[in-house]
Amino acid sequence: MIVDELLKKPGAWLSRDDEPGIILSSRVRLARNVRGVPFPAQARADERIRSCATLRDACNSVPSLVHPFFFDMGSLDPLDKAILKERRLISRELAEKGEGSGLIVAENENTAIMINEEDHLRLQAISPGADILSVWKRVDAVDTELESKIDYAFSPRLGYLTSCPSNVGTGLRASVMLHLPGLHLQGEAEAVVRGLGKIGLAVRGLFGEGSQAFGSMFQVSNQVTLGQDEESIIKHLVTVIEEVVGHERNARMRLLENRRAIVMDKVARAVGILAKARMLSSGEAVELLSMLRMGVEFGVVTGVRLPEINEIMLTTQPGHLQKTEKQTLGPMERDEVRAEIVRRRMSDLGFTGD
Amino acid sequence: MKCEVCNSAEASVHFKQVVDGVVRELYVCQGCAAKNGFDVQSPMALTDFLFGMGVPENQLDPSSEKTCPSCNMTLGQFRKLSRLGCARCYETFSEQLEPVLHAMHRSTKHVGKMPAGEKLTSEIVAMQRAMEKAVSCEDFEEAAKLRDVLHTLKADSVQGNEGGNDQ
Ligand SMILES: [Zn+2]
Ligand SMILES: [Zn+2]
Repeated sequence: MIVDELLKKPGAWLSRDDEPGIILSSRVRLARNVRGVPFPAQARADERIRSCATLRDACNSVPSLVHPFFFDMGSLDPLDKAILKERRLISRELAEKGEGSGLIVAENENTAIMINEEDHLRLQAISPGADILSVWKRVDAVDTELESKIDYAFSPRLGYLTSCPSNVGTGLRASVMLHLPGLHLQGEAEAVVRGLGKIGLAVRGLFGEGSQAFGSMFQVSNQVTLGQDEESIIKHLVTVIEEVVGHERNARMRLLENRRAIVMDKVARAVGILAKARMLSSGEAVELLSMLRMGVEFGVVTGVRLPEINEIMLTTQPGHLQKTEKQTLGPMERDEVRAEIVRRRMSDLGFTGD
Repeated sequence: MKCEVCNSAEASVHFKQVVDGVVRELYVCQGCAAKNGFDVQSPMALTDFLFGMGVPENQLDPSSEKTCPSCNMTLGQFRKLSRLGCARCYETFSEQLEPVLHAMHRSTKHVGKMPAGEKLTSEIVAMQRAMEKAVSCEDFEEAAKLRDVLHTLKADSVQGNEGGNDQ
């Protein structure tokens, strides 16, 4: 399998089936290290290359990783790495590495292992929707299979030992991706985000850098990994997420009751621009697709399904865009090509903007 | 409460800061927090803040600096990177880590999953303690029972190890 093969598929983190909205996807990752081997950042290059090969073989023989494929960070070009990043298979940190680091990914992309990122192993599983408990069970199974092949760095007192002390213990980070346009338009998103921070959860924008969150899409995850077991961490997250979803539903109801004209205007403008624009930056595209998504979720737009919006969102990310066009493009050309692709898709769906 | 860094703006961010392994509480304003690289959005930044605001490098005596015998990471490097070099570093820098772990996790004790082999080992240790206690209380019947269980556990553990070597 080469990276190009992935482009034919929709990506495991975005649903290909109809979904109720709000919760885009759920993800769990486990940080693991090998006993007696320095963590990747402290290891010499030759040590990293050797451990990467050993770990690759161990991961490849795990039964629950179906049809695994290995990507060597030393031989992927930047565009391939961008695609893996946009598909949420690798982190920016792994993308910056070269030989001695890699990714093992199951054929269906729902389970993957990063090798020699910050830790020797980052086991990760992802599913669309609010499926965090079964995502945890999937990654737990891979971990249990791996532990018979790899002697993990583990201390009875501190648990799984990790490069950063913020991961020590369970090594578990569970996260849920949320679409919160209702709270955003009501001006309440920031308060909710602040509230989540106060109860020990981290919130960041799904698209865009730093505090700039495009498209009202957020990722909420646990911060504490020590002193709580895996199920408690996940249950706590699930409880909080249910509450946030409740707030979002409530905000949407109030919006449709009291500010219906504003909602209709936002959605109509989004449809118009997506159908007509000649230049679209990736931030603007995400922003507009979020409004279109909101329109569908509110039931005020018909003729397009959420999986179709997901697909447009993924294929118009910079890496996917350039790979499909088979050329490296400057930001300006990218915006032009992006607008063209979106225009074509919108017109296929029957949105002409007239 | 006034910001403890600039002493003028109202403090809105509460930190626990670590200096020489001692936790110090710190109340700072948004501006000062941002200046020190603290970003409310990012859980990593708190780590960096906790480590980064420690004793200035030039005040550390290089000769007395702790070094991990396994990976050669020094206390200074560890402070700067806020990352450990190897599993052994957790013992080497345990004194510095304890308050950091507490500030981050409100705990310093793992309670979750453990590898099967570790689980068995910890069961054996617990059983051994229980047996010693039974003996010291002269409850020899109980001690004999525990001894038998311990035998089975140890047999499992040997088998487990052999299984591990096969692969
Ligand atoms: Zn201040
Ligand atoms: Zn070390």
